[in-house]
Amino acid sequence: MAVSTKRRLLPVILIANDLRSGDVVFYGDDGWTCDLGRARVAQDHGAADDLEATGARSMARQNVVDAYLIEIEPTTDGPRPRHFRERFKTTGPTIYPHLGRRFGAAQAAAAGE
Amino acid sequence: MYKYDRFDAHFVRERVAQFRDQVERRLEGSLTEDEFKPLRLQNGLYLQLHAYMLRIAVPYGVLSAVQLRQLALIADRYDRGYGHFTTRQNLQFNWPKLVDVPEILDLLADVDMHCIQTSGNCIRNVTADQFAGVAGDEIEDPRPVAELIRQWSSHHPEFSFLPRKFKVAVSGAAHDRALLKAHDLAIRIVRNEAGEAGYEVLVGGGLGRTPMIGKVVRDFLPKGELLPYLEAVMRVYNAEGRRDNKYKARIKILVHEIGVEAFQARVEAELRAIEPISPVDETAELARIAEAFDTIDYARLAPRSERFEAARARDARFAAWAQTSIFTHRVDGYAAVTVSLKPVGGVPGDMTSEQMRLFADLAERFSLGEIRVTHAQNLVLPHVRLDDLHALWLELADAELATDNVGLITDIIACPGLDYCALATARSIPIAQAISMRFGDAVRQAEIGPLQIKISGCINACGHHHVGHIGILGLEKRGQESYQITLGGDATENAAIGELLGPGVTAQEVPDAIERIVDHYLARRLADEPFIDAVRRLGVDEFRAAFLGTQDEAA
Repeated sequence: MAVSTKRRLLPVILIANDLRSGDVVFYGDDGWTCDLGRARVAQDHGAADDLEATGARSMARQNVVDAYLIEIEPTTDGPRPRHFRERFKTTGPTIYPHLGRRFGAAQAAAAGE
Repeated sequence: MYKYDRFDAHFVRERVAQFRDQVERRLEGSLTEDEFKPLRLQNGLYLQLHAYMLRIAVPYGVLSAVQLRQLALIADRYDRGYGHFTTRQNLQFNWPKLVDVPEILDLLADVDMHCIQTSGNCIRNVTADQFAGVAGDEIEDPRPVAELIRQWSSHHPEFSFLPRKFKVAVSGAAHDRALLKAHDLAIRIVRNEAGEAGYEVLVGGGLGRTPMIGKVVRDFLPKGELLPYLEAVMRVYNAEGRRDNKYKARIKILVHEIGVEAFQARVEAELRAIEPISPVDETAELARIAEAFDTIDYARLAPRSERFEAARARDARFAAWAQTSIFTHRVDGYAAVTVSLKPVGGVPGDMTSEQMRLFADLAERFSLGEIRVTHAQNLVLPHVRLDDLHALWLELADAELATDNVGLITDIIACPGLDYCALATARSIPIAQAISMRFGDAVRQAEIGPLQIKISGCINACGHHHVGHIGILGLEKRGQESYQITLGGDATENAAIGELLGPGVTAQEVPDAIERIVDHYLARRLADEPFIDAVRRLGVDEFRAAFLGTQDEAA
C-alpha cells in the first residue's frame, strides 16, 4: 500500500507492524509507538522521504515489518488516515471495538529505532 | 477420528522444532522477512492488518472434543479468547504474537494438530463433506482417502513449491456438500457399472478473480491407482502452470488455456511415464489408514424415537430448530446435528473459548466426542441419538448456540474481510451482520426457506460469493466500500457461478437491495419452490429489474 512520491498527498505518517508481536505501530519522535497521536507527521516531501528511509532501515534492522507511509488529515484528536483501510488498521476490527489495537497496547513492546 | 501413530506424531513434533528454530533466526535477525515469509506461510502464519494470524488445519473438517478444548486454551493463553472457523474447515486465531507461535504449535502437537500447509504454494489442507462417514447418501466414507492424500501431500518434496496454491476436496456422497467443483482438484467416490467403487476426478475448478467450474478428467479411476494419477496431475501442473503471473498461475487457468482434452492427454502421458517407484502398496496403505480410524460402536436403536417426536410436538421452538439442524444419519436412531455459528447479528464462524469448552463437553456427552467443521462456517455433532436431541438443544440454547437458521438466509458465509485481512478491499462481516439483523425474525426466515448468501471482502473470494444464491463482493470504489451483488450461484453438484445484477451499492444499501430480491422471489415463487429454483425458472434478468428497482410493479 505504499504511496509513490509523485502521487503522495501530504501530510503522511509511517505505519508498520512490530516484528515480535505483530502490533500496529507508528514512527514517532521517540521511535516506534502504539499511540497514533504520537506519530511524527511529515508535512513536506523531504520529511516524508526521511520517514520512508527510516521505515526501510527499521525493516532492515528487523524491528518492524511492512512499514509504509499513509496519508492522513490532521484533526483535533490527532492524525486521521484518509483511506478507510488504514483507518481500520489504526483502530482495530470495527466489529469488536473492545478488541481493537488498544487492547494490546499495554503489552505491545514498541520496537526501538 | 484418525489416530496418529508414532511416525505421525514425530513428523509433527519435528516440524514444530524446525519452525521454532526459524522463528529464533528471524528474531535474532539472521533471516530477513523476505526469507522468513515463505517459511511462516507454509506453517499457516500470516501477517494481517492488525496482527499475525495463525491458521490451524482441521483435516477434512474432523475435530475431537479434546482438540477443541485445547483450542480454547490457546485462545485464552495466547490469543484474545476466540477463534474463527473458515470456509476451508480450518480455524484461525487473529492475534497471536510471533514469539508465542512455537509454544502454540507445541500445544497443538499435544493433541495431534498442526498448521502444516494451511498456506503457501503447496497442496493445502484437504477438505471434505462434513457428513463424511455418517451420511445416508454416501457410497463410501471418504475420510481414509482424504487422510491418504494428506499424508502423501505433506511436505511432498516435489510439490512444495507449486506455481500457486492447490486445494483438494473429497466426498463419497451423491450430493455435493464439499464444493467439489470449485476446487483445484476434487475426488468423488463413485460406482462403475460393475458396482465397484472408484474415483471420479475433477480438475480446474476455483473461485477468485477467474471463477471456473471443475471439469471431469477421469470419470472412473479404479481404487489403488489414485496416488500415481494425482502425481501425474501435479507434475503436469508443476511443469506447465504459469509462474510469470500469479493471477494466471492456478491449475484452472492451465486447463482452460489448453483445454480439458489436451490436459487429460498430458496427464495420461505422464502417468505412462511414471515408473512404479513408490514402494507403498496404495491399497494396503489405504487399508492401514482406514484401520487407524476409530470404529464407532453404535447402539442398536429403532429408526423412530418417541421421545424426539413427543418433544417436537410439544415444543415449537425445538421443532423449528430440529427442522433446519438435523441431517439423516446412516444408522437408525441417530442424527447428525448442524450447530449454527451464525447468531442473528453475530460474526459468522466466530466462537469464544467459553463456547468451545462447553461445546467440547456436549460433544463428549452427546456425540461420542466427535465434531465436524463445515465449509459454511458451522459445526456438526455427527453422532447424536434422536432420544438425546431435546436435551442437547436445551444445553445449546443455554450457550447461545441454538440459532435455528441452518441453510436459511441468515446462515451467511463471510470471510474476515477488511476487519482483519490485509488483502481485503472492503469489510464483509458488518454486511453479514446487517443482513442478519434485517432478516433475523425466525418466522420470516422460515417463510423464505433455503437461501444461501455468501460474502467476500475482495476478489479472492474466500467467502465463496460466486457460488452464493446471492453473492456479495466488497470492493473499493472512489475511496468508499462498494458491494457488487450476484445472483444464481450454486455450491452443490449443480455448481454455477452467479451473474452480476448491476452496479455496486454502498454498505448501507445492501440490506434493502437483498430485500428487493427476496420480495420479488416471494411474489413470484410457485408453491414450495426454493429460491434458487425460482431464480433458474424466472431468469436473472427479472431479478435484475427488481434489484435495480425498475421492475413493472404489476408483474
